[in-house]
Amino acid sequence: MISVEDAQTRIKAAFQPVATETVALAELCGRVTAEDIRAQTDQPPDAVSSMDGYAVRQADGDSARSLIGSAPAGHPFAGTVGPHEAVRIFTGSVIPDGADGVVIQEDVDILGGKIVFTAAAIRPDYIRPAALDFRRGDVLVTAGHIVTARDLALLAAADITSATVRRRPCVAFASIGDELSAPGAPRRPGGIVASSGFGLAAMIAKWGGVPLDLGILADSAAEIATIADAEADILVTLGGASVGDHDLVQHALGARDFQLDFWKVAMRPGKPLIFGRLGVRPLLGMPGNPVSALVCAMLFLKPAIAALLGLAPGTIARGTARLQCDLAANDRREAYIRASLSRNSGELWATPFDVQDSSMLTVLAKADALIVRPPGAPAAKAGSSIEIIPLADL
Amino acid sequence: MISVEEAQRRVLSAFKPIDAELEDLVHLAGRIAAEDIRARGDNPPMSIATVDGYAVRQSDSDAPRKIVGKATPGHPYFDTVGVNEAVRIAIGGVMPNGTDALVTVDNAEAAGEVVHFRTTAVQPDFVRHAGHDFKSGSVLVQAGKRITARDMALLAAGGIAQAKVRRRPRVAIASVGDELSAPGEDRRDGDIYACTGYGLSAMIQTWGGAPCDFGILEDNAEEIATIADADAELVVTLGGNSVGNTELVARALGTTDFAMETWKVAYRPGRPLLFGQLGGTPMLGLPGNPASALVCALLFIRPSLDVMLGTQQRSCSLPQRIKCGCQSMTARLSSGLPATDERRTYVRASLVTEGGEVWAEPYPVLDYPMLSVLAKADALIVLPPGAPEAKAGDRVEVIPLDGY
Repeated sequence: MISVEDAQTRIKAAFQPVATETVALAELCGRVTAEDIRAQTDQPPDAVSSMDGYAVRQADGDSARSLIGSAPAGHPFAGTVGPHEAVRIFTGSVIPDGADGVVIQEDVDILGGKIVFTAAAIRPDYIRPAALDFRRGDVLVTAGHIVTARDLALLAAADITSATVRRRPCVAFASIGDELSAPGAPRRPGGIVASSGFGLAAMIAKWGGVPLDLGILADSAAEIATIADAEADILVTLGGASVGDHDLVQHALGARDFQLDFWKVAMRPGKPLIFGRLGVRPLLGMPGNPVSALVCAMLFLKPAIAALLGLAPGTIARGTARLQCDLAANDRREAYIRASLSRNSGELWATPFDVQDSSMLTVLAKADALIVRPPGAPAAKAGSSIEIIPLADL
Repeated sequence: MISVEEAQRRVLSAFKPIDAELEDLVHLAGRIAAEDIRARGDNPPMSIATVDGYAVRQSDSDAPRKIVGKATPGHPYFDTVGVNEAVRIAIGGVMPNGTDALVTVDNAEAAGEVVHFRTTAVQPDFVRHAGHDFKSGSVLVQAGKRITARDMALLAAGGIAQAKVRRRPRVAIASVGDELSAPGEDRRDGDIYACTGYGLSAMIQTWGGAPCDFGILEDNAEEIATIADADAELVVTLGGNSVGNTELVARALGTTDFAMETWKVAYRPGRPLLFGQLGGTPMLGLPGNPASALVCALLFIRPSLDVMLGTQQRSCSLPQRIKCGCQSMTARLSSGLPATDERRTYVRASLVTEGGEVWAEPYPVLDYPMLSVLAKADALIVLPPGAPEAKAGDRVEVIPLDGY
């Protein structure tokens, strides 16, 4: 039996980033960059006005100006602003050559066809210099970053139309068990519905992978061995409990060149977790119990997908909260306790559910977080600060 | 000038929940349940053994039991277990008729067809009863809930193959301005690249809508009027609102069935906001500046989508709604901020967790719609109208931007 941390380290070490592909700008959100993305242009490309008013020369002081043209946004003034001249401009208009200040329209009078204002009204700071935001060649998004909606706007402004990102890693999973049937299909006598795979597929998609459901496999070595033929970056088995998780899966896959790395992790829910290599492909054997399987997915599959995507470590968001009630000392297995979260005077409080039965999907579904209790943790008093894994987006 | 709350109230009153559609289980994650989804069976469907051992009858004497069969997951024992009989059972096996307790393998001694154990070894609590997790007919996902990955497993266990969810509201987006070029195009002299629409489309998708990008429209009546043909639940224009242009969109659309107002809303970064009806479809005119547009999207588009989707927890940044939603949180300021005027102010900030607390470091307030700052910000600090000067260490409301 190894620790959760050990298991995570060994799993992460088994993966290399997948190949890259070029993806169009509009499809980039949520993808992981494979290289630094650099601006193709300055932003703004030209010096522009931040106000509606007149572009003038500071050196002319408070002398009256002749209006020589107008430059709405998108229609720059082609000439040069000479001594005692002004050009009508608007927010976003390019500042014409020769001009180095802006007078806002509220500060201007028109007298005898000339524009009149005080010298103090000339504001050089209403000009946004070219490249104020970024310069051509600047790194806008670094390699190994998940592209956000805001990044899309940034990249568009920099004239980026496509970028090189990691291919979405494919995660093939099979639900193993003679007792299983698909939701909506007639249930087998004494059987149950295969449920873990549906949660798992949604999580895989959320983490940037492509789920490939290999369906339900019977508890037979021949059926289980077919997993070895799946084209995927990771293979996942769910269950196989009738003869004992590890026995059946390991026995069945042994014939297909399965090399075991480890198969028991000191955690609750969970424990019978298999990790190894089936031919060239890493294989994660997860418990059949859906609550254990989904918690194991968060702890072990997510970092594996992150490693395949070339994401920086530390991808499991952890936080802290204060305990709403006392918690007993923990045994030597790391415990993940289903809890609800609430906010009180700016602080986050975690309340463990009374029932921690690992067969209860209803409890997992309504939980807001998992409280992490390290092996051998002493009893914790209400009010003390504890580590949590928020579940909000899962 | 009207308050943010008043502007939100007026905008949100134009929307009502959208129709529902039936969707297969595999496509339900992220969708909003249109009605309560109820279990179609008990979970577990039958009573199940939680240990390896023997299924027995509690009422029997402590005489040795005759082993009459076995039960493993998927392979139940179909007969009824009689007096002084037992069935060998594996974890996950169905408890045979007649049995009500278990004896673990460790506490039993099998000899041929007979098994011996002490009566104290008979344990009824090693049985997980039918319906222990949920009963047939119980509500698994309430109407208005966004279906999570965990809900997917729950629904599958409840035998749900399909469910009714809200249709994704369609949002048409048009970028308005003669100065705009599309990325990749040859940029005309003095132009900038239209960028806000790309970010907005991605956000709308995240929030459960279906964006439809109309691309770039020039500042003229004919082009702008084409958005009247949009088949959508909401039409959004970006730009075309600034002084000098404000009336353009309104004028351009004047010939169609159109009612539009221009509001000055008390927040910054903000610019005049257009809102009205375009042939019966709500239309929102946002500033072209991406920083203002993002704040507008959070303030007006996201809650509009919530109304159409009928979501339980309104995800908007109204302080009174914050209590229930997880949209905003509080953080402590790493450095001071000046007092605000009568406008609610959104300040871009980075977040750091230190000593179990979240600290917000505001970026210097800049007039330019600095996209590079917007992209690297972790949160928006929300300062209410008329807020006094804030000092380092003060607690402020923040809207985290991760996920956008």
